[in-house]
Amino acid sequence: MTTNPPLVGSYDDVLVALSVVIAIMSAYAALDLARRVTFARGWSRILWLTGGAIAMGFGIWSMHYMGMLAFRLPVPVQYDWPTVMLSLIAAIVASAVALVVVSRPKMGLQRALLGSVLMGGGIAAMHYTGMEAMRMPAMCSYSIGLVALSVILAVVISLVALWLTFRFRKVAAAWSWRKSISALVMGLAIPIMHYTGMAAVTFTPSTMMHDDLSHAISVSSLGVTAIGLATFVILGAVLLSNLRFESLPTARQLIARYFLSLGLISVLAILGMLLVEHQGGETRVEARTINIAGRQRMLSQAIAKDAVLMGRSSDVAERIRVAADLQALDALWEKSHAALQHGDTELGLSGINSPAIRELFTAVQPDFTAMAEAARALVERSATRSASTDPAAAVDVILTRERTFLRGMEAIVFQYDREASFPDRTGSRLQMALLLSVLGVLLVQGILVLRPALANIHQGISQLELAKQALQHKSEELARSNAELEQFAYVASHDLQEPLRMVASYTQLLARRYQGKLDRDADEFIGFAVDGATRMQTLIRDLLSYSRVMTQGRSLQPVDTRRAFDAARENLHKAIEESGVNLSVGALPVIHADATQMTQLFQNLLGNALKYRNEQAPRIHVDAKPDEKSWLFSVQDNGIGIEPQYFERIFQMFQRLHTREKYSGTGIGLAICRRIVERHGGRIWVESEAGRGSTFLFAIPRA
Amino acid sequence: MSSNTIEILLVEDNAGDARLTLEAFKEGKVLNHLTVMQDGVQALAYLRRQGPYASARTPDLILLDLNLPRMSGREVLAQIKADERLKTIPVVVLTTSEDTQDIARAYSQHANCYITKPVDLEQFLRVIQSIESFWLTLVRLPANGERSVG
Repeated sequence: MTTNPPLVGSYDDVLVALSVVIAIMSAYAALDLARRVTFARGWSRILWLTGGAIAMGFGIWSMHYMGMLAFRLPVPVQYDWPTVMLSLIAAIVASAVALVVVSRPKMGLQRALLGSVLMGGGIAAMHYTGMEAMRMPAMCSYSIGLVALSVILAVVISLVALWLTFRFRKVAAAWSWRKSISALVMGLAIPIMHYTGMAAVTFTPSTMMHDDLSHAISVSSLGVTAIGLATFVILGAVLLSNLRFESLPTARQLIARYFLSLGLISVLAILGMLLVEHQGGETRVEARTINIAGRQRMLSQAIAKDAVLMGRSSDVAERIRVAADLQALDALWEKSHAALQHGDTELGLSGINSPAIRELFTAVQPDFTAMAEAARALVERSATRSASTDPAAAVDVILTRERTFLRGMEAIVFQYDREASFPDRTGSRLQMALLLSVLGVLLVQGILVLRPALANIHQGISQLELAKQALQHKSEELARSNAELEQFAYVASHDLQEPLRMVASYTQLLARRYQGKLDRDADEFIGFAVDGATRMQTLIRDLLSYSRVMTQGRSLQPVDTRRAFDAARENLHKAIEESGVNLSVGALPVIHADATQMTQLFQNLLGNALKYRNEQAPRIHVDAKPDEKSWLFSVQDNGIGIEPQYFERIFQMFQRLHTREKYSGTGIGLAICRRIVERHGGRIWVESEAGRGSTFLFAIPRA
Repeated sequence: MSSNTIEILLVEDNAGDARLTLEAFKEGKVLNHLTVMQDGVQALAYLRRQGPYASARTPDLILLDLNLPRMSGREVLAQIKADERLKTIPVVVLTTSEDTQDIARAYSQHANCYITKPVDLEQFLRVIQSIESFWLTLVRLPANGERSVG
């Protein structure tokens, strides 16, 4: 029985989604492979090219087939596996072309176009070869317009894909937003092309199977799972190999591996669920098949009963009633019969039967046909209301045929039942395999992630411990060495005093006693000697007071800095009077300090301010300002100022900016100031403008 | 040796310092005779007129350095002030140390005064002059039995 309206297919949403995911994964893998091939040389390049083409081709092909399997027709569909293999080859070739094109140093418009035509053509070839592999009781007719559109789409998408891949082939990062987005775009575009191609096809059912069925195989849910699994493994391997774990820091590596394992487990779990779902679906179909096959027996008996009734009854009204009932029964019975053999979406039957079943149906067919014809004849006769025609013959046919039909149907039902139990074993084996894989992944994860992570943490902790110990050791050493140096400096300068005193005193004595009594040269020589000795004494004294900042430093107590300032002012009162300086002071706080040293500090700074004055009337202002963490003191003068390049130098030991003739002093004053300030945990610096004056600032932290 | 000559004992191990002190006293106005002992043990022997120092003259003033070999100046001071016959002699601690502890300890051991030797020659000369004008001119020193009268 041929009907002309085209078959309407439906899409299994889950498998469609899966096919898109596969497309995106393939796209990402393609980007990765492009990078690998670009950077590889020699043999490894060929290896990457070959392996990459196979992996990527498999991904694209798998996407196509997932899309095909997602498409459910009311008729059973099988696939001619040699043709399927051919479509896979087409996909691999297209991928190889793509990889070669994008791995070249340059990709001009010409090459890009050529490549995209080849690649797009390859993908279209794969698609339509794949369509050709379908074996079903239906014919494919193609809408030329949509076919052309799908091919154009394939070429355009290839062009975009090539361009994107070429653009990002050098992106070294394993994960990058740009690559991910390109993969997403490409991954979504490929299904668009595929489903356009699907839209180009119309299926018209036909009973004539004019194709060679010798290599036809049906793809059950097992097949779907197997394809899905293989795809994920292959593409996953590509992505995994790309994740250059070595470049990431150890912690990130472990995190990446951990999430990868989680991803893998999720994928396996999802596949397992899909499998169970499909198994369930199949079982439901099998159950329905058995139900409906069983119902056929009941229906045939009901038909026989009605036939007998019609034959016996003379009442026209009754006859009409029974005829209507018979018609309904017959319609359902015939429909179910066809559905069992060819599938029916309404009844939920796949129509895919084993050879054994098909044989049984063939055996029962004559009985069926005879019964059906007889039943229809009975119905027709009642409609014409002619009492003359004798329904007895039809009833006889029905009764005799019904017996054999029942036997035949019985055999079919039992055969269905027997066959239904088979897939379970393989299905459960696959489930077991999935479970074991999950456990395997967990175990591997435990070895590759957990143990290294723990070892890492342990190592980190022990390294930390070691570092802490080393630090402590070092700081102890440093403290010891510092103390020794302090001691040394102190003792050295202390013990140097005595011989120095001898030299200074006796040269001075010489000068006193023999000045003018020897010749002029002698006077000069003695003068230099005395001068040198005196200066050395001053230097040693300064060095001593410098080292005393630490060795004689007292503990920090609350000190009224105003009092310290006053003491310093008192010590310098003569110089202050002589200079006629205008000395002003702001409010000075109480801070944690060494009183003596604060006085020393003020005295040095004040002394400098007085010493380095210019022609103007000297003015000095001392002030203090609170900060969030410290007190900021300032000693401001209007003296000769300091040039910026010397701002740091003046705080160094014995550094002077002027000759001894111009300004006295050894240059230790500011070094002592800095030492004192640093001993208090503070900081000292200067702000100045040459010729305009200087402001010395120091910050002492509070408490 | 005139009876008006003041006898001064300088206990100082540093020859250079001793000579300086000598020169400084030479420039002074008061007639004086300076004897130098270079270590504490000798100094005490001298004071007690023991051994080779049997004919030593009891000094009118002792200038004592604290940093001495063998026996420290503090020890010498303690011994002098413990000795009945010697404790009346004024002891001027003349030393380089300006350590407050040294000063405190010296006074607690009954030193008559403590002077820190200045590093500068001029200052040193002035210090010696001060010692002279105070201890040898202004101050009344106790009469010692051995002093020959007339």
